[in-house]
Amino acid sequence: MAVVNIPDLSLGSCKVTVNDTPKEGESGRPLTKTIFDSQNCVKAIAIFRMEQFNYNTNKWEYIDGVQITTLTDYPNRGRGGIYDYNKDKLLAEHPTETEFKSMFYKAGAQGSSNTSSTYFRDDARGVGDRVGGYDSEIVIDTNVPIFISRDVPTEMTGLDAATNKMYTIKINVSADYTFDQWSVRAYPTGNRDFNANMLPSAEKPTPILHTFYINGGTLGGNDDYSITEVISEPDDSPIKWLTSEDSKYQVYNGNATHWETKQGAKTVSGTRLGIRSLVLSANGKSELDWAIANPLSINHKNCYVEHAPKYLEKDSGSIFTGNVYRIWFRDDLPDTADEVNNEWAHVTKISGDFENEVRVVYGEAPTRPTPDEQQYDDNHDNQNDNPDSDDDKPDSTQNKDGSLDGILGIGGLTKIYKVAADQMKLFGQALWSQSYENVLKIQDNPIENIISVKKFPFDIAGTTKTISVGNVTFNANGDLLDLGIHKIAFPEVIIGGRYKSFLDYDPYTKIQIVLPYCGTYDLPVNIVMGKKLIVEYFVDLCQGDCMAVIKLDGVPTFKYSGTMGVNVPLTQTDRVNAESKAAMQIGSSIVGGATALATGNVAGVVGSVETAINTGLSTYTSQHTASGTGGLNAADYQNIKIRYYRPVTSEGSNLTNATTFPNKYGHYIGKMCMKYLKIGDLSGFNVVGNIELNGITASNDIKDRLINKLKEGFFI
Amino acid sequence: MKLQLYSNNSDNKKINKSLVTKGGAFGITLKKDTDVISPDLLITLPTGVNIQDVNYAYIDSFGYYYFITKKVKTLGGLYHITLDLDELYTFKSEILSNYAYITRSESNFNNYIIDSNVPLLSNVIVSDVNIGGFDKTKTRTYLTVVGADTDAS
Repeated sequence: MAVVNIPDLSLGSCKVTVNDTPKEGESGRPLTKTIFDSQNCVKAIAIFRMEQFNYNTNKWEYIDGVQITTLTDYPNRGRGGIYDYNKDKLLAEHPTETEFKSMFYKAGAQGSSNTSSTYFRDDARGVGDRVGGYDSEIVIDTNVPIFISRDVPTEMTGLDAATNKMYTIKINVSADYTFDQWSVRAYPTGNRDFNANMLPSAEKPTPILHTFYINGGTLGGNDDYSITEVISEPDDSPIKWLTSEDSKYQVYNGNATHWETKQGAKTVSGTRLGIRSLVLSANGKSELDWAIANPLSINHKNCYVEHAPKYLEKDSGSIFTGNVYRIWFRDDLPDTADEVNNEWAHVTKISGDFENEVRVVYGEAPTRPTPDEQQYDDNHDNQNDNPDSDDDKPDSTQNKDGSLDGILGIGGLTKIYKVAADQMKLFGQALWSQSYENVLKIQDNPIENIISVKKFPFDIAGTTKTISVGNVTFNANGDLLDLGIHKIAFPEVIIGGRYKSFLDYDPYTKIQIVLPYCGTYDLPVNIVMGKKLIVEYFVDLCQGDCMAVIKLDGVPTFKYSGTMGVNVPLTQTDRVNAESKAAMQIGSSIVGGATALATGNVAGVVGSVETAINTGLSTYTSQHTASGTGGLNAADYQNIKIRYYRPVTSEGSNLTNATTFPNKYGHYIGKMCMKYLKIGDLSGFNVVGNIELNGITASNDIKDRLINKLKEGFFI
Repeated sequence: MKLQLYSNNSDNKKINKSLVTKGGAFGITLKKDTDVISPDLLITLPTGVNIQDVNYAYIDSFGYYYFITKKVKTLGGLYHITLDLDELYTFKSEILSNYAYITRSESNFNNYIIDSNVPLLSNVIVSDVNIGGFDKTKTRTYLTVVGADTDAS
C-alpha cells in the first residue's frame, strides 16, 4: 500500500502516517498478540498500548503498566478476554463484574445489551474523560480491518487560533487504504485545562499532542485544537482532506441519531466538538477479528448497539484511552442473547467493500488445544497458570507474531556449532585425547560437557571458529551459531473449497495437515476454510525438538510438537547401536554428512495445486502423531501437505467438475432457502415451511388444503 | 350458475397456469347437494367442444377453479364430470401477495445451508496440496557444548 510522505511532526503541524503493519516500538502503533485459552481456542485478545507525551524528550513514550479507571458498565457475559499486553498475559477470560470494573472496558459485543459497535465521543464533560485527555492515544490495530459505517461522518473540525475560523476536514481513505492506520496529531491552541499530574513541567502554555488514529473513519478534535496543515489525498480517494473556512462544524447530538451541522460559535459550555466513531460489523457472521481503540468517557452515553432499525444509547463508565482490543466473537454460546447476530449482539454495519476481508467462520468454534498450552490466568490471580510458561514477561527475542528469533543457545553459557563431517571426525578424535581430560568438569564425566550432537535436515549459516568445550579448544572448526531455536517458514497456501457450498465444510469435507516430524493432524474445517495458511517450524537445535506453528491469516492458531533432531552418539558403545539406525534413517554415517539443505523457505513442491492422491481411499483416515524419535521421524515423510477429504456428489466425481447439486435439483427439489420472503418475489419451484395466510376468504378446509399444497411445493 | 371449461397445459402445482378456453360458459343447474371443493356435475358439452380437450373448469357462482379429475359419458350422451378445487390458481393473487417462511426455492437459496437431500456417494476424494518440506538427504550436524563464546570474532 502506498505510504503518504509527510513532514515530520513539529509544533503546529499535522501528521498523517499511513503504513501497512505496525512495527514494534513504533510510536503510536499497537502491538498485537494472539494467545490461546485453556481450551486451546484461538483467543482474540486485548491489544493495547498506552503512550504519554513526554515534554522533556518531546516524544511519545510508553506508559508502564495498566491504568485502571472506574467503570460503571459491565457486560452481561464476557466473550473473549481482556489481555494486558504490558504484562503479556490474559487478565481474565470471562471477568466477573468486579474484575471487569477494574479492567478496561471494551465496547463491542459486550455490555448489558451486548453492544457490538463503539462510538467515541469527544464531548465528555471533563478533560480527563476525553479521548486523549491524558495525552494518550487511541490506537487501532491495522492488522485487523476497522470498517466505518457510511452513516458515520468523516469530518473533523478544528479551530485556527490565528483566524478564529473553523476548519472542516474530511478524511479521505480509498479502498486501497483499508488496512492502513492513520494518525493525525493536532496541536491544540489556546489554554487547556488538563490534569496537572500529566505535566512534566509547570511552564505553560505548551501545545499538547493529541493523536488520533483511525482507519478511514472519523477523526475527532476539539475546539482547542487547530489544524494547521492538511494532507492532500488522491482525487479518487473516497475521503478527502479538505479545508473549509466557512465556519461550519458538526456535532453529534445526544441521542446519537444524527449529526448536526452548525455554524457560528463553536463552543457551548461542556460541549465538545469533533467526535470519533467507529462501527464494526461482521454482517451476521459468527466470527469477526477486529481491533478497536477503547473509548473514553465518563458518565456519557458513548456506546451504541444497533437494535434494528436504529441505534440505542448505552451508558458507559470512564475508560482509559489508548487501549486496543481484539475480540473474537463466538457463536457457540449457550444463550442466543450472547451470540453474534442475535438482535442484541450482532455486529451489523460493515462496508461492503471490506466484507471480503472479514474473517468468517461458520459453525463450531475453533478446536481446543492441549492443556499444556495454556497461557492464561484461569483463577484470575494475575499469575500465569502455566508453570512452564514464561509469559510473565515478554521474551525479548520473541517477535510479536509469536515467532522466535536469535536467542542464544542456552542462556549464553553454551554454544552451538554446525560441524562439517571432516571437522566432526577431528573433534571426535580429540575427545579421546589427553587435552580433553583437562577440561573442567561440570559433571562427573568430561564427556558430559558436550550437551548434544544432533543432525537436522537443514543448514544454518554461522561464523567459522575453532570448537571449544569449556576451557579446552580443539583442533577442529565449526560454524558458531547465534541462535538455539531455528525457524523455518514455508509458503502460504489458501485453504480452499471446491463446491462453494456446505459440502466444503464439516462434516462433509475434512482436512488434515501432514507435518513432518510432528504428525498428521485434523484441522477444523469450519475454521480453516478460506484462510491463508502458513506453516512455520521452530527447531530446538540442542534438544532436537521441533514445533510446527500453523498460522491462519497471519495469526498463530495451532501448534504441534515433534522431534526432528537425530541423536548422534558420542561413545563407542552408542555408536555401534545407533550408527546403523542413523545410516538407515538419514542416509549417511554418523560423522559424515551430506551436503546441506538450504534453510529458510521451502524444499519440495510449492504451491496450491491440489492433486488427487488415491481415489481408492473410501474413508477418511484418522490423524496420528509422529514418533518421539527424530530418527524414526526422519525416515518418514518429509513434505508438508494439506490433505483434503472431499465428498463426491452424484454429479461430480473428481476435482475438476465438483458440482454440489444434480441437474435440475433446484427445479424439482428446491435448494435451501430458510428465509421469510414474499411469495410473489420468487420464481420456479418453492416450498413453504409455514405461512400466515392472509387475505383469503374461504372455509377452513379449503385453507388447509391450500397450505398443504404450498408446503408440498409449487411452481410460480 | 355457469361453468366454463378449459384446457390446462400447465403443471397442476403451478400457480400461474396457462389456460385455453374451450367453448363459452354455459349454465348448469345443481340437482342435488354439491360439495364445493369436489363437485360432481352432469353436463352437456357445448357445441364444438370435445371432452378429451378439457381438463379444467371454472364455476362462477363459487368463483373457484377446478381440475376435472374424472369424466364419464352417460348412456344419455351427457357427461358426468368430477371436479377438484385448484386452490393455487383460484387464490393466485392472494398467495403471491403473502409472505411465508420459504424452506426451499429454485430462485432464492443459500448453498451454504446444509441440505441432506443432496445425493452423495459413499466414497471420498482424497487430495493433497504440497506446501514444502525437508530434504533428509541434505543434513548438517549440530554440536551443543558448554562454555560461552570467548572469541573476538
